[in-house]
Amino acid sequence: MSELINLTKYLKIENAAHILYTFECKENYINNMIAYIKAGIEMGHHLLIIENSNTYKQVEEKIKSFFSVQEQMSIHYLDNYLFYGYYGNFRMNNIIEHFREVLTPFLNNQINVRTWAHVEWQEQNDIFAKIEEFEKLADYSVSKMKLMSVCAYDASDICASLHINMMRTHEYIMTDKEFVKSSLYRVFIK
Amino acid sequence: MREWLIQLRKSKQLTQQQVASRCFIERSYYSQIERGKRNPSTHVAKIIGEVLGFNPLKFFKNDLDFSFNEYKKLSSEKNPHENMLDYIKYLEYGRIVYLYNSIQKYYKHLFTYLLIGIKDKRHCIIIDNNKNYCLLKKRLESVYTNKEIENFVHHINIDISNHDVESVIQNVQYLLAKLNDNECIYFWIHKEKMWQNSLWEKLDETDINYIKVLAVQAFNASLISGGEHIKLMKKYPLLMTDEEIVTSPFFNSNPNSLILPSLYIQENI
Repeated sequence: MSELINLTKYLKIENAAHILYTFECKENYINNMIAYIKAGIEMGHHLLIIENSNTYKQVEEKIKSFFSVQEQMSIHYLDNYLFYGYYGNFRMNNIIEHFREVLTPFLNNQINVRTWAHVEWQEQNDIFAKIEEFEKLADYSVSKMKLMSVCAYDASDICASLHINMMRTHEYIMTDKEFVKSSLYRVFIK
Repeated sequence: MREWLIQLRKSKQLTQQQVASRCFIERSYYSQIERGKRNPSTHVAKIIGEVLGFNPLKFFKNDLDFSFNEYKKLSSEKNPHENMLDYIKYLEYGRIVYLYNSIQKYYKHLFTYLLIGIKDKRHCIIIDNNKNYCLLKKRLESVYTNKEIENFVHHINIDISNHDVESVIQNVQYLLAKLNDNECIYFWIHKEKMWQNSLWEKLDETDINYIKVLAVQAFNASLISGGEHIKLMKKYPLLMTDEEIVTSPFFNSNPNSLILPSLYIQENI
């Protein structure tokens, strides 16, 4: 079992934790992201934020008002359109490999890093099946790299079928107002 | 019972009334919180924490270890699929939301549900389209006589009761009026049409609430959104898929439920 660390000032969870965040309200989404960043910085962790540029502009304004220049240097941003290949097919192996490449310098230098990724995609065939497989690989990677990782999805962009399958690959489920343990985590169809 | 809260209050030599007054809540409400009958809102949890000097998440945190251990125990049991029939067989009443991916598995589970119902002489009210019901009836006829099926399985055809929740409720009430008050009823509602959205809520407002009812509401999982799925998990204690039944992590009154506030709400506590 990984060590327990603070997710927030009140709640400790295992260091390797895969959290699914299904959001409905943008304002609450940004507030939850800021709270996640704040908790990470207080723990001395770096943050990797994978987000679309429009939303990140709003997040950046809050970051500049809440965190010192020094603290802001711990926050690293990647454009999710480029990261998830929004302009092309959702290639899960490439995405996972890219994720590992980005994190390797932190891990090699023993820098604790937690990630927040807003997953978006271009309309394409079998996208939900691809996302389901992707999240299985991601859960394995997060566990192996001992990361705390939030995967955020717009609740209106995914169907219940995909949401249920993602409950199998994420130990914790968050909504705009709630945080629970998934009752389907690692319960897979044989 | 929240013994820890009672002991904490007594250690500060405060009465329930004194704590309630300082928290600007009714004494009866505070008493229910101490007795574990109610959970405080995050706002009330924060105030009680300030008054008595403790981390407000302790209201939820005591359950964290228990539910974590319970979850580990359930995970190490046999394949949950094998427990699914047990779940239904021994439940006299309850509410289950079933999100299916495969229509074949939908038929299989509905068939199993009816088999158990008829075998235990429980009346089964099926609210579904005619095509599905005819298919199921044909399968049932290989196991039970027509008389047994007619005695215990009652079909309300949603194709006929188009756009009309009231006529479905009237049909249900008519059926229930013929039954013994103590009988356990099986309900199976296949939600396919928009007008059915308020059906269960309206049924719940009728006498049906006062009898033993095991109710399954089935949805096609690819036709509802993730947001709607979360709303359903908040309303139903049990979540069923094609492969298993588990407790809904979002249903507040589940004994093992642990619903914490999201990150930014915790930060503001």
